Amino acid sequence: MRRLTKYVLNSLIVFYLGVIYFTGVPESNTFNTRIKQKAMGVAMAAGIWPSWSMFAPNPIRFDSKSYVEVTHKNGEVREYDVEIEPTGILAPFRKARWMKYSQDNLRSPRQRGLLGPAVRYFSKKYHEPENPVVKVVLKRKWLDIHPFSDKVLPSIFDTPRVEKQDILITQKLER
Amino acid sequence: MMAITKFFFKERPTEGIALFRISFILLVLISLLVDVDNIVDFYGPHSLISLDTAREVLSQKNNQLVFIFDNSYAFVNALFIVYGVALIFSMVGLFTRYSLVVAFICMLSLHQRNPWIIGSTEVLMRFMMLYLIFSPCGHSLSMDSLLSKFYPKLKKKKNWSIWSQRIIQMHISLFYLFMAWNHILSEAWIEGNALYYLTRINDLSNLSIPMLLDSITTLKGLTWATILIELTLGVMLWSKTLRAPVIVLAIGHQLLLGSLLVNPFHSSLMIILLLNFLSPELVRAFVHRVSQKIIKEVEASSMGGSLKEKLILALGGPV
Repeated sequence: MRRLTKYVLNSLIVFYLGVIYFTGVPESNTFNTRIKQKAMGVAMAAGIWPSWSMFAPNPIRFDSKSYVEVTHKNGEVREYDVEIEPTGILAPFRKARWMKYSQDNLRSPRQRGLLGPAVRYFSKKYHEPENPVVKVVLKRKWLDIHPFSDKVLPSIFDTPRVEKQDILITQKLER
Repeated sequence: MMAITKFFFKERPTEGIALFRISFILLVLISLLVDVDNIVDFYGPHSLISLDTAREVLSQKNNQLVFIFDNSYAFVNALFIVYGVALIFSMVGLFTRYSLVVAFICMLSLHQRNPWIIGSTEVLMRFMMLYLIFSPCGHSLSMDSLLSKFYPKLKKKKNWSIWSQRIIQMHISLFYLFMAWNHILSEAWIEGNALYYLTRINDLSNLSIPMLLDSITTLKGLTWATILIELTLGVMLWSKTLRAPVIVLAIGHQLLLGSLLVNPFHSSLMIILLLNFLSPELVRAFVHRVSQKIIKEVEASSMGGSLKEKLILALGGPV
């Protein structure tokens, strides 16, 4: 391989590995954090932004699902699970997308920007011409997982949990 | 310096990276088939997140190469068709590099269109697609190499500089090390109760075996074993002596996690990625042995003369 090509490739490899390293490294000190911000900008523009966390720093300690409650003009109130239940061979794969959207993002306080578009989507989805949707409420319901105990572990099947509820957004629609 | 040059640029057989190409692209194709049903909900003009919202909410500049044109259903459907065709061409190895470039652009576009439905697995897929573009993965086990037997002008070297596969290997190694690092910094993982919480999330848990998952010892053991395995894989995959048992350990670990937790693409992808640590010479020997067996079958068959000759030539010549 020609020498110039080798030098160019070497430089690209070193630069690339540097971007990958600094975008992936946990923010454990100020130096890492500063370089990470710059590296992330490069990575986002080039389409090589990483995601390495894999249930870290700590896995969530509750079982959460998002629901949409629609109120129709005639006063009827219906509640639907945000996640559709897919069927077929690829069902587990398709459900993973919905779980990612609903359980990781829609209910997250850092993703409030997703709520408005979700309201618009569900108002159209459940719209009936004779009985339009007048109010949409997005809510999350969750069950706290019993804390881990070194003495006795709550059984995976038998231990009941208390369901809690929280409203994410309420939107009245003009019809 | 010589050692680094040899490590990155020594010419090695291309069958290994070709085998990875076929397996990996097949998985990406399955991922695309999953997303076909998601066009209306996640990618279309009336999806859960509109294109304008995606651009507004994402804080960093993103380059939605394809969506600068149009966001109609017609365009999104066409994008999926182009993506699918590019993946099929990449898998069979026809105009491999160009197909991979098209597939990467389509994949990147979909990931940027809706990053709220993708996770670490899809991110890793994107990286691997990018690396394959720069690799000689189309030089073997491909239609390109088959065509080169009949059209010498299309001939490509079967041995090529291994630097692109080294990047893949380093990325996999870094991935495991960063996973381990993130887990070591985490209270739940260090105390050994991370897997307890993960297996109690209804939608995430797969096979619920009370005997295993109600046992404090098993849960703590599995949690710590995960960190240990991640550290081991990050380092020991580079050891020629320990590589084989480490790969077996990694496969076993992924199968166990896949049976306990619902993460269908992740386990499959992590197993496929390990193909990059097989010796290229070993893969070539395996491919050669298989093709010789098929040639013997073809020679013994009652196939027509000219077709038989072409098939034997395509498979690598007479025994």
